[in-house]
Amino acid sequence: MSLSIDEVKALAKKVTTSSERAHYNGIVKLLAEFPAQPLPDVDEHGDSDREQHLRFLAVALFQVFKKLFARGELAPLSAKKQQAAGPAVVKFNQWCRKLYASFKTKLLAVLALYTQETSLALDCLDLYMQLLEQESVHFASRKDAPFFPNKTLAALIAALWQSRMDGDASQEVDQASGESANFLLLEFRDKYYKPFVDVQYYTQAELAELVVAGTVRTDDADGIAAAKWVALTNHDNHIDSPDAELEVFVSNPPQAIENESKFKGLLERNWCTFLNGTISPQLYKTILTVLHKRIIPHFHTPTKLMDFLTDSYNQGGIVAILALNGLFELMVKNNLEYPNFYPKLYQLITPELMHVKYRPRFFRLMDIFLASTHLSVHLVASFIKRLARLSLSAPPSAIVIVIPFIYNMLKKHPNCMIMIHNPKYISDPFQTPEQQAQLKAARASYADPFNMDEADPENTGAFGSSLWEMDSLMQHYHPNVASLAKVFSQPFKKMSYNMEDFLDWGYDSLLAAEASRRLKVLPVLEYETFDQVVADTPENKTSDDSEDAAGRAVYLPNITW
Amino acid sequence: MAGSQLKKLKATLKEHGLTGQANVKKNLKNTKRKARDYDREEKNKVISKIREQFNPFEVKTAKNKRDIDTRASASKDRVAVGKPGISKQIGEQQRLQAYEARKLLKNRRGGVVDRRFGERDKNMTEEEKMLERFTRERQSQSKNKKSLYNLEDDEDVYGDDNGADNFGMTLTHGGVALAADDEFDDAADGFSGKRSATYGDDEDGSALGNSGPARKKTKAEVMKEVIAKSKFYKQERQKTQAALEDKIDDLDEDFDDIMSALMPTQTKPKAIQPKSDVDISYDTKFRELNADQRAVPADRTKTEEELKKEADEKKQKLEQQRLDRMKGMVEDEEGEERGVEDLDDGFWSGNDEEDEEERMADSDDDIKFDQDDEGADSDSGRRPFAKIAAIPCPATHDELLSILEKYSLGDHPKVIRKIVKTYQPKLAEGNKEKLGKLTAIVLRHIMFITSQDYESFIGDFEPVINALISLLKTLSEKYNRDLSEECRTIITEIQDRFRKHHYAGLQLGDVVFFIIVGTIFSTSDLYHLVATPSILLMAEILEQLRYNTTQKIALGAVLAQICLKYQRLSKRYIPEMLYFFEKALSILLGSSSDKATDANDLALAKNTKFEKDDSAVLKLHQLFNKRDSKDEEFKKTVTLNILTSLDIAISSTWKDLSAFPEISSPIEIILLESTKQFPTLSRATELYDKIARLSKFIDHTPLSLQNHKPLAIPSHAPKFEENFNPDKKSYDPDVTRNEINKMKAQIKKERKFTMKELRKDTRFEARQRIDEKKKEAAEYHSKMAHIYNTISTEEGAEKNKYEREKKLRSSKK
Repeated sequence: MSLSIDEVKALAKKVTTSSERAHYNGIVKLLAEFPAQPLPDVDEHGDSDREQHLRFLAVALFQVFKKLFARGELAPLSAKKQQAAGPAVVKFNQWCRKLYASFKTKLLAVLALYTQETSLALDCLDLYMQLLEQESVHFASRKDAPFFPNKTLAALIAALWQSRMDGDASQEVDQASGESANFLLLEFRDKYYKPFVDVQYYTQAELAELVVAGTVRTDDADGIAAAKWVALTNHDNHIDSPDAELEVFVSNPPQAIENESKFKGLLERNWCTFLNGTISPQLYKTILTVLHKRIIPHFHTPTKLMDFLTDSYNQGGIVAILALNGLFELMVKNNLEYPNFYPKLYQLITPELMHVKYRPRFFRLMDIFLASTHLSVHLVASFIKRLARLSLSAPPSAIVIVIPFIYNMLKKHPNCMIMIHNPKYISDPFQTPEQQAQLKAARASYADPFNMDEADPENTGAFGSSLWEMDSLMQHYHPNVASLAKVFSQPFKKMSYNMEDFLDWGYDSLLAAEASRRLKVLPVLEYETFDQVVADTPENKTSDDSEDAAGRAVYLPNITW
Repeated sequence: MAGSQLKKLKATLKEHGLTGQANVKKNLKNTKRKARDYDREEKNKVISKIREQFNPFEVKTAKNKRDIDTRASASKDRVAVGKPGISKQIGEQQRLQAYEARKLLKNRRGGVVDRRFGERDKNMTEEEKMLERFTRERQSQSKNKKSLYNLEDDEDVYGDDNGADNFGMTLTHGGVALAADDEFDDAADGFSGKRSATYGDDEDGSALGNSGPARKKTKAEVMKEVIAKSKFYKQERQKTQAALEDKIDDLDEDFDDIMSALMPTQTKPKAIQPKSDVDISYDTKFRELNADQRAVPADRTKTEEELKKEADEKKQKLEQQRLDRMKGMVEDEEGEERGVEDLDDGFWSGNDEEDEEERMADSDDDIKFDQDDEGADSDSGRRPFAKIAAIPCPATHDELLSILEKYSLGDHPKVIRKIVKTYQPKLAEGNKEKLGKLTAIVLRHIMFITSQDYESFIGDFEPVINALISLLKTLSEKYNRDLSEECRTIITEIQDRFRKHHYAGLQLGDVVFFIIVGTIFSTSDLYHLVATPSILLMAEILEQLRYNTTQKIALGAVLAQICLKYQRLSKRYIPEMLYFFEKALSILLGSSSDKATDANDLALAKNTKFEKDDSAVLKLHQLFNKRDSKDEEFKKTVTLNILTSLDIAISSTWKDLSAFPEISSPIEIILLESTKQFPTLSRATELYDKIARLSKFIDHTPLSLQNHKPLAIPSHAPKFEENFNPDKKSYDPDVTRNEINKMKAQIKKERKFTMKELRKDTRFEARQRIDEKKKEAAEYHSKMAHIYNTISTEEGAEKNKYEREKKLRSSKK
């Protein structure tokens, strides 16, 4: 605090320019200058001077220690060297190392304890990583020996996991995905974790250790540890990813980093521990959405995820829909046998399904699950009927999925055609009177056997029902939806619809399609005229003659201004 | 018949009476008759037959394929198909003629060939030549005569009694023209067989140019000449007649001249005198009177009934058009009817292409306001803003706002109306565009002022907004295009706002916009460029609003009402509306089983009492103000309003759908619960009963959507080709290819023939040239021989002379 920038510069210069030991005490002074605790009154704008000062100090110290590294005064002395050098040197070496350790601690303190987004913290992170690189060269047991300073990295990871951002919640956790938005972590991920293979390997290894040691707790109340973990690993650039392009960070890392299988094991272990910890609902959804693409491939034994997925699937609702993808992956590749799969799937078709954005994902999978022609007719009919029923209050984007889907199902299971065409109830002019009487009786006694509330798709009675819903949707207000629904009344000539054409419609795309239409023919005007668009307000009504008001054509009689 | 060929020939000739004594005295009469019977041609025929018979190579034969079974199979097994010798001979002759003609023209310039008849015949007199030429001409003409029996074709003007003018149409008997009967009789009477070769001597007397070839003329030739002659006379008569008529005409023409020459009096042209005032006034009067429109009966004032009928008819027509549009029978510019199915070709899978030219709305007619508007205008003219004429026509909404700043709210419609009047399209060019823009701006303005908080001055506000909307409606008829485009822009804007800020992005103006679209455009159309997107957008809002305040529910209720109004005629189903009703009612009536909704506190208080006269009328300005959402009175109103809409939906749209029980079942459950909770809510009970009643009536039997007419199976029975012949190449089913092949074959054949002909020509020419060369050489040699001979004879003579002289001299010696 007392030293000015010039003084800092002078002190640092003395140490760096000459190896005169007398100057080394300057380091102590400089270190003392560096605060161990974050400044309590740091605010974002008013403190640029102070921040600049600290940054300068940190850089100066970094230069000093770099010099010391170069002079070999920081490298640990082997027993042989210790003997050769004598106690004074050993003591001096230990003193230097202590200084260096305290510098590192202070840097980490900045990282761990700063609660605001500052460039100082980012600089500290960079400096720390550069020190790490220096260490890997100079702390190796002998020259050119492969070495990675994993303890140093472990300290950094602990600090990153300790770091918390104050203020706005969105700075710590991304609201939409539930992933951590800690800027230090993101910086570390983008700059060091993603591109460097050795950093990845040792981060995973050390993180596993830290979790065991209890330094990183996965059961924290707000699930931030898991959020950070997901933020760190939710990308496709891992060592074992097929098309990852990675480099090494330190000049001569140990061979261990090339062991993909070991890395997988570590990653798997870490995933399992974090999945067992606290996970926020948003993060839960995020994990489930990426599970089949970014998590399962990194597992030696994906079956370890079975319990997690089964639990998720049993939760029902959106979580279950999302878990379906991972579950499917396990079923296909790992022979996961899921009891009562179809009833569960049937129960997933809820009114909410029609209104959530994960709808296409679900339908894509359902298309696969129901692709088998060996399914029972009752089961298929139940699915068809339930979808049809739900489409009665669904947005057009969902209806345009349901219609081709049902069409494809009917094509695949022609037995179910009875749901749109039951020849038993067709009246025919050539029928005899008794046949007609029979038909009339049959029609009169017919009751829809479908039970919407039945959970088991084998017992819903849908097969005896009929798709009146599709018939009614031919009257849909959107002309394209209506004409799409009319396929059911036309001969089934088309082989099948390509579902991909229909999955991703939404109000936005429908309206965009409308907006892109050019005004070829002028829109037709209403010839009917209304005297008023809405009814008079009661205040005005008093002034009007009551019999006059009665004779006026009002567009919306139940609304006033 | 045995004997040599010559003997056989002689015998045959004799048999046919062609040889032997021609005039056997003893049966003179018979022979005469016989000679007469035998025509020259017939004789020739007989001779040629005999010739054929004796030269088997003269006739080309082919195997007879037709009458195999005839008795005379021996002789008829071969039929004649051609005479190679004769055709060759003909060809040779033709070639020779052509060759000679060419030779004649060789080394000559110009190609005029004198084809006149008898031009070089020195034996013919001038008259004969003329006559002959004329005859030829007529003959060639008569050949071209289209129809022999065409009565109209007859050029006989004078009604000549002589039948001969029907040229070529002669009555015959036994091949002999009846007209020649007298001649025939003469001959039969006393002539001694030999008829004079010429016909003309008995009539002309002179001109016996008998030095020409004394060929015996055939009967046909004779007849032709006779006819030609009579024709000639007729021509002569016509000529004289024409000449006479010409002369009369000439005289007629000259008559005037002669008369004028005879008339001595002359009329002098009058000098132009200045007209007197009286005259002028008379003229003007005259002209005026002339220009005056004649009194025309005025259009009868139509009676009330007639007017009503007319209006009815117009309405009916419009209604029919509307119905067509509702069913999707869109009539586009080409007049082609487009069905519903055309609408979504490629809609789901790709983009639609747009290439059509825009259609121009064109009509320079003025905007006519209703009578009462005009009245309001005129009395407002006394007020201070009478000088509005100076107002510029606003091009943007901001400009309009700056103009309107100076006026009170109540004057807004008048100001805008004034602007419209000032910029009538007929007044200046470009006004139409300006007013088009103004139309869009008025719409914007309506949206703008309704988005303001107008609650405090609602009394003033209402007439203004009503006036503005009716003004917009009037303008919309003329400036449809601008208005529609603006509407589409606004729809996009609203959607953008809603997507970004959800409920917060909406304004009351947007709701008013939807209402205005509903009143101005024909919303019942199957597809409408403005109505379809706007109902889609309303549905989106209905579906995506999170109903956690009473205001949002109220907004939904209003939108649902507007949607219902949009579909009041077309009665299409809106799933989002069901979704909204379900959601809103379950929230308001507290029967929401969904625990997750954060709207449970919006439920009506348990002890709410509904009165009979509780209003169901929603106030628009309440939709967006931030009042306490626990206002029970407001909730009641919203509930009643939704129930009213539900009632309309059920009785207008849902009851006609086959899925009515499915649609109404969730609503039914809610209503049932609500009747338990709020016994005073009589509306709910009524609705519940109504649904139950309607469910009974609906035909809820299984569908038979695939009850199509059975499709005929296309039959692929082999087509049986009659007279099939595998050698025939033209069994190609492709007609064009078949034709092409035929044509190719024909060309090949023709080419072959032409090549052959050309080769023959060249060979003939070569032969001819060799002949000529030979002839020339022979001539030369004979000439030389002659010269040699003469010389040698002369020499010989001289020699003899010399010898003699020498002998003489020597003897003298």
